[in-house]
Amino acid sequence: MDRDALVGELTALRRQVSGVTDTIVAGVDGLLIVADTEDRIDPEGVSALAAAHHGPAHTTAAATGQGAFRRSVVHSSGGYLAVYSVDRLALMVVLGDEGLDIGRLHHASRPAIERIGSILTQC
Amino acid sequence: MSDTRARSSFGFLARALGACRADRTTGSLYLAGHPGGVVHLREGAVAAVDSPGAPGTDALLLRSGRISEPDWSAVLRAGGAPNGIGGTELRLVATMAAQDGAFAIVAGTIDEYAVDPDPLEVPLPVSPGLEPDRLLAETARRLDALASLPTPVSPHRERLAAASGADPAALSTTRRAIITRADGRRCARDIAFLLGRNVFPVTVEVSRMVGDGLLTITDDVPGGTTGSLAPLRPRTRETGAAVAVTDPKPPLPRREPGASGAGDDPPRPSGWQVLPRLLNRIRAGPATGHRGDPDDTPDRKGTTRGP
Repeated sequence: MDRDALVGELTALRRQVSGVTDTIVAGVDGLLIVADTEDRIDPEGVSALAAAHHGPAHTTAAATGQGAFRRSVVHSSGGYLAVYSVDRLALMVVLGDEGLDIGRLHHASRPAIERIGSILTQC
Repeated sequence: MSDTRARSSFGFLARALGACRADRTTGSLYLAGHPGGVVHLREGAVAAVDSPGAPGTDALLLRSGRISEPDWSAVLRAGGAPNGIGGTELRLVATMAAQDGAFAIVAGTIDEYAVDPDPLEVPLPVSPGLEPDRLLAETARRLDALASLPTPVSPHRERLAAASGADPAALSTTRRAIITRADGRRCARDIAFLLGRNVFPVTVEVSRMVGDGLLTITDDVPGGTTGSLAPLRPRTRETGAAVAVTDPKPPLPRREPGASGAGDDPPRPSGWQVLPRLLNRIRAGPATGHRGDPDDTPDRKGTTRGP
């Protein structure tokens, strides 16, 4: 797995979308793979939380017949946490401040997720 | 900061706002770009400017502590002005937020624009609205002021770090607040959001601090934090690592009424029903009670014990 390529993807997404503060890639088991985060963020803790968040979201999507889980968003008064599925194997977690344009993030995330998925599955 | 790029974006905004003013547009002017934004118009006047590049009125009020979260929630529910802030101050904050949003938009790039005649709700509009000419004049003044500095920086692009040897304790409050948040990842816009201040004054101060040698512009090459880098596909359950999630089967367990057993026991007396029995025990005196007996509780027995 090309660590530098992964970090490059995360950094590029942060620079591309105003308001993105931190980005993380974690396995669906909640184990950290790679992170581009500020010091105040615990990437391993957020990875575990994202996996815990993903569990019921994934189950809800399946139980209601709405297909595969793609993303979920926690919108708080001070910002956003978005969790994206990467090939059903991993999660991309994006944190942003209250100025984040979440629609722009969704748009910019699609190609990034595809590239991250292909990097993760390279032996 | 690229002055040419900002002038080009300013021309874009001036043309779009000019067309809206001529048509006395009520609706939303969408400006696509980086950071882009939305200008909310009421009969050709500007009611608000939203941009990811600048804190809005709500962020300015909340981050600065002028209003509380419950007060802001009440504004979103019922509209009107929030508690704890006067009408004049509110108009001032809303006007500064609109002017700051326009500055943030033209300090970046604008690719195209579109007008939606369906107006979006604005929780705290500038009332009465700003004349587009006045907004454009103020935006041009801000661009000129920033460009006239010896070391102008873009609010969106340049990432900032404290220069080695800079002593935050020796700086003014504003400079100290900026330098302690310049971690090499953040730009002036990010610092303005953290501080709950307008982007323009923060960008100007950041530019001066770069000129004074207190801040440096970094190339933002992150170290990153790394966990397990083993390829995911070959990882199996045997290795205890991640495997792809699948749709849950069998389906969710069905819950049946009464399955938990709750409510099977006869109802126990509580509250006022227990009180007369407790009083009886007290009146009977200490010989009838056995302090420390776990079963001797009024809600379980409800009776006094004889000798």
